[in-house]
Amino acid sequence: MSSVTPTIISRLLDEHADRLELYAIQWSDSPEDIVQEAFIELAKQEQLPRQPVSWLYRVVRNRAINWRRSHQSRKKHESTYVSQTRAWFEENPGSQLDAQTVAEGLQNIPEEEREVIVAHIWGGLTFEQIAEITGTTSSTAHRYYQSGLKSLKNLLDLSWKTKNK
Amino acid sequence: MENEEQIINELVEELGKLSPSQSQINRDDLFYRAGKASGAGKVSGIKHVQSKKQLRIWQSYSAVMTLCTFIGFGWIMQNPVNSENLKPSELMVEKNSEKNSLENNSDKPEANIIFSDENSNVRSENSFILSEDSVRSDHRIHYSRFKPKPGTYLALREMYLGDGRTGIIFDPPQFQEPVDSKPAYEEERKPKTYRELMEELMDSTI
Repeated sequence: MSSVTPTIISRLLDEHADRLELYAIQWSDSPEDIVQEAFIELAKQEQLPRQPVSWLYRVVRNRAINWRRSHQSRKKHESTYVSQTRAWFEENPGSQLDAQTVAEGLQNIPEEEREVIVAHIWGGLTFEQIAEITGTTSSTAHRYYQSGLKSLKNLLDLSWKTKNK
Repeated sequence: MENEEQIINELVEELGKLSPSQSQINRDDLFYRAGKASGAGKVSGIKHVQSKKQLRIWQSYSAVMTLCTFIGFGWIMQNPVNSENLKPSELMVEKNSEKNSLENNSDKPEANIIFSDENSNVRSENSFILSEDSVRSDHRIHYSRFKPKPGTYLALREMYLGDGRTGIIFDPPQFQEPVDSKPAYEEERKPKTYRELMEELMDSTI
């Protein structure tokens, strides 16, 4: 096993920082802080984890959920709270979808479905990796993914079809 | 069914075209903190020795200061102030410290001493007034550490008797302030204007 070097951290930052922040923003208003702490945690490791990307996602997930627990206001219920402070996606003129609408759609589907969709589509994680991170089985993760997409399709239905037309 | 699956596939494709917002991580800060966390540059041999040396110096200094403190306490304990010679007739229970002090000091220019129980927080209720005749040479007197409060007199010196009592020496009448005036410490803080200084100078010259 290799040690954690600045080069590795730099590469992981370039490739995954924005995706990890998107993953963290589901629970936290300051995803960049959480991702930064996760990278610092990685730097502390004697050896590079076997799957550094999965490892980072797990650390980010744990820290973001802890953040939500400690910062959650009484008015906002845990299962429905998602960050509203910054944009989730960059606007892409080439996409049929409106970034803001997708973000809103994701915020309105169940948390476990949203998490799997974000981790799989934008994080590039396999269902096995997602299952390991979330503590479920890969089949459950896949089921959440499918049901999440259906929910999202229903929520985006109007804008999606309108734009297609 | 097939149509729905196709729509979902298209949806996934479109979702994939969206990019997450740009990272807002401060990379400089991250690498600085990551470097510190990983311990890079922490164990530089010379630095380590230097810090150890500094630590030893600091430890020696602390030890010397502690020793001095103990020696000081030891000296104080070996030289207790004997308060047995104080005559009870000279002690006067102070019912109203301000009033009594004013009255006494108006007749006697010498300092008034208030003895109080060391354990008592309320000096004015458990204190006594002595004339300066009662102050003996073996009473240790030093300057007070506390500030006078509004309506009280300037307590300039404090005296330890060694028997669990503390004496406070108030200054002669010229240092006393009227009860209804501003606290002395407030006046002291206020800087005098040029005009006031000039007037004072003129008065003193005349």
